[in-house]
Amino acid sequence: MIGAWHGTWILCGGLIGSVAPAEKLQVSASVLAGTGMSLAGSGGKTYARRSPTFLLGEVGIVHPDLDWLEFAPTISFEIEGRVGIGLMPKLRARLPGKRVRIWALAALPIFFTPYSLLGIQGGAGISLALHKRLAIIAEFTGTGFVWGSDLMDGGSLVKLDQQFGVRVSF
Amino acid sequence: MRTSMILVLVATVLPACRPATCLRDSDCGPGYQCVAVECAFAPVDTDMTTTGATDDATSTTTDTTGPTQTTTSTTTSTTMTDTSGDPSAVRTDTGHETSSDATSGGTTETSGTSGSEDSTTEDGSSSDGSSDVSGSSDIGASGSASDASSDAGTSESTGPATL
Repeated sequence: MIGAWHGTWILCGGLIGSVAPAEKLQVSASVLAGTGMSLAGSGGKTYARRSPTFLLGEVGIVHPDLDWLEFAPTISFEIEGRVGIGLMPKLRARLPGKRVRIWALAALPIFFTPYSLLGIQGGAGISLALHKRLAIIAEFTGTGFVWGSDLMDGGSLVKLDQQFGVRVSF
Repeated sequence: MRTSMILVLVATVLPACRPATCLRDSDCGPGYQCVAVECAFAPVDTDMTTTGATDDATSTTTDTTGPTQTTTSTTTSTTMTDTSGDPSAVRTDTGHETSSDATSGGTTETSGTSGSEDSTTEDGSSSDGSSDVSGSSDIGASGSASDASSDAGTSESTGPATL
C-alpha cells in the first residue's frame, strides 16, 4: 500500500516539483508465469522446495517525464496445488534503452485469500521489444514473507523465483 | 523452468538445505497444516471449555491411586491420537460424547467415542487400583484405528480396530 501510494504520488508529480502532471501516461499490460525455489528454516536447518507456479497480471504506468520509473500494480495467482490470490504494488527503476531495457524492482506482495501472506520483494528484470507494442520480459526476484496465516508457526519464508511473460504497450 | 530446476538442485545439494514436504500450510491438503516441514492434522478446537490437550500415545494413561467412583457424561471435544502412524498427526474431533465411568475398588475406566464412523468401548473392571483407558482412534481416510490401553502404569497397543 505504501508503494501504491508512493507510486501514485510520483506519477501525479507530487514528489518532484519539476514534473508536471502527465497529460498522457504510458500504459502497458503484462502477463507473466513463473516458479522458483522456496526456503524456510525449521529446527536450525534450512529446507528447500520448489515454489508453486504462479501467474502475474500487471498494468505498468509510466510518467512521460519520468521514463526511468514505472509503477505496476499487479495481481498474483498461485495456481499449483492451491489457488491463492494476492495484490502486489510494484515499482521499477529502469535503465534507458530502446529495444532492450533492464530494471530493478521492489514490490510488496500481499496474499489475502484463501490464506494471507505479507512480504517484501526485490529483484531485476529485462525486456526485449519484438515490436513497437510487444515485448517479452523476464524477471528474477527474491521475496521474503514475514507474516501470514500460511507460514509455519513462528517461521518465515524466502522465495527465489523467476517469471517470464509478454508485455503489450498501449 | 530450467533455471528453476538449477536453483532447486543447487539448494538441495547444499549441506544446509534439505528437501521438505511442506514449507507452508497451503503445501498440505485441506485439514492439514505444515508443522516442522511435515504435514500434520490441523487441530481444531471449537469449544474453549475443553482441555485442548493433544496427547501423545504414551500420555493417555489415567492414573488413579485410590478408590474413586464417579460417573460423568459430557458432550465435549475428544482428542484422538494416532498410535500407529505419524506421531505428529493429531486430530481433534468435537461434538461427540465422552464418558467416564469409574467402578468401585479403585478402578477408573474411560471410554471415548470418537466420531460416528468408529466406536470402540471397553468395559473392564479390576480391584487392584489399576487404571484402564480405552480410546478409539482413526487415521483419516485409511480406515485403520488403534485401541490403546494401559494397565497398572503400562501402555500397550492392542492392534487395529475396525471402523
